[in-house]
Amino acid sequence: MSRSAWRLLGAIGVAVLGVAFFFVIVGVFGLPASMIALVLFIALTLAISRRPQPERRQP
Amino acid sequence: MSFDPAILARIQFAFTVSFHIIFPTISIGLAAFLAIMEGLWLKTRDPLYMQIYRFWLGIFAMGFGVGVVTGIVLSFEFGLAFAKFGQMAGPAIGPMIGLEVLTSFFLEAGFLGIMLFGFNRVGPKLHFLATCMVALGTLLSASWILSANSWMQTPDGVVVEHGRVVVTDWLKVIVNPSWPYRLPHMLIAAYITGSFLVAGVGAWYLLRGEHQAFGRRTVSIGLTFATMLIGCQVFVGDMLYGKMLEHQPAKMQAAEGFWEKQSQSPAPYYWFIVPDQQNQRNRFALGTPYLGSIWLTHSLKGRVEGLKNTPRDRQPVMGWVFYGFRTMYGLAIIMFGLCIASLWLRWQGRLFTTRWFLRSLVVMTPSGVIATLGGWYLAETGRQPWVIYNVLRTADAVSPVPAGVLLSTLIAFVCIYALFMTAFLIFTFRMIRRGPQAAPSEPVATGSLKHALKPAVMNDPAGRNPAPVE
Repeated sequence: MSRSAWRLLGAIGVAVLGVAFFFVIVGVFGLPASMIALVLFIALTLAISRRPQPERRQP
Repeated sequence: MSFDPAILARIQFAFTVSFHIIFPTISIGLAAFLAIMEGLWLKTRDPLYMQIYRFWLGIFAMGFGVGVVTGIVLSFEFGLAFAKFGQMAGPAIGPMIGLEVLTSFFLEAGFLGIMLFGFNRVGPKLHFLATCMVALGTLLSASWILSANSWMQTPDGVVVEHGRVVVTDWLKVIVNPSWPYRLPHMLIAAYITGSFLVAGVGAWYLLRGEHQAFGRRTVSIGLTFATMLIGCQVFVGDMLYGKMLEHQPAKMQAAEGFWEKQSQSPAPYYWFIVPDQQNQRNRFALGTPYLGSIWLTHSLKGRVEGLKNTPRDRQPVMGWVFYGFRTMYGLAIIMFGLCIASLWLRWQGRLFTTRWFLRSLVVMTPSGVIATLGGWYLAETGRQPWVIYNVLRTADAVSPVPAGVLLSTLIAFVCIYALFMTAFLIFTFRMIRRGPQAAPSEPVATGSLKHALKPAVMNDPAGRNPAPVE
């Protein structure tokens, strides 16, 4: 599979994960699930935010 | 042609408060951001953090100034346009507004001067303390105002005697049923506003290929905070929704666009409606099947209560409430989506180079302000026809002021506020165009607007005037 196909697949997976996070945090599966999902979401954000980005001058 | 004084009084208050809320939202968010930036500079001594601090300090100062001036007007309007509200609710609202002045205004007034002009006059740690105190002051101010407004939404701790409110329990007045939910909701909204503001400006620099280090750092920090905060906001928002459904069912019935006492099962989630208040129906409705049941009842086939459950003379106008809510919620969904996209792009190492994403960030720069305005329209129009829910009707709260007086002051407010907004936007855009390296090392009181934004040449014993980072 080409790189762009992998990238598309990954983007779709992330979108589905994002929708799932939104539905759980908004309380569809109850308060305990909502709180766990929120903690997980914040932890995931912090973990990914520490990832270094390559240096490039122009976008 | 004759105008209804009650309508004019409401339009005037709606206009002035809508204008005002833009600036506290920005300054609460930016004050916290500035405190974090200065704290990081103190910890790391990385000059880039100080450059970011200096750049945003000027914009914060302008927003803070406009916010204070336009906030004072609102207190006068209570007395001038809504005197009966003041007479009745003064014993509860008055002390809370007074306490806002005593706690937050005094704190801000005491430390703002050090924050703006004290770079080379006090030590770095004292300066950081001043920044933190100003940020705390903005938080306290929001806390008191939210307490007063939440009391109007869910009044508690009072009895009405001879047409006046008599406080029986101050704790219940201040910590009224909706305040513990509405305060974090508003504070998070302000912090999200600040996050998208700084990320949007950073993205603009990255797109133009200018001030790369500044742009990358602000986009990164702005998005990290925005992502964590939007998750928290979704969580708190749902809790607040449940609380308001319990205390103000009519507001939430109008917010969802349903008229019938029980919606069909499964209930759709409406995105667009053309409500017909007269005939208590929607002329047109566009929604997503099942989503209403899932989001609002947390089940696949749950029914949603409609506005016909509320007697007509106690109903808010559905259009205002519905679209206030959809503006806020719709933007929150877009923000959440962008934040998820940012995580994916960051994971791939493409956060600073993906042009569509950076353009989206630029477009979303004012999204926090617009969402906050939408939320306040939901809160205030949804409380109608009451000014104090189930206690005092808005129509009964208006002063006996001639329509001509209200119209002339409304026109004056529109003209003066247009001037404020134009000046704020011109100076902000000019500062952004000039870039972070042109930000003054310290604001200098020259008495002339010409020199207001010129870099000052100051001594720098503490090493806080770094050489350009790039």
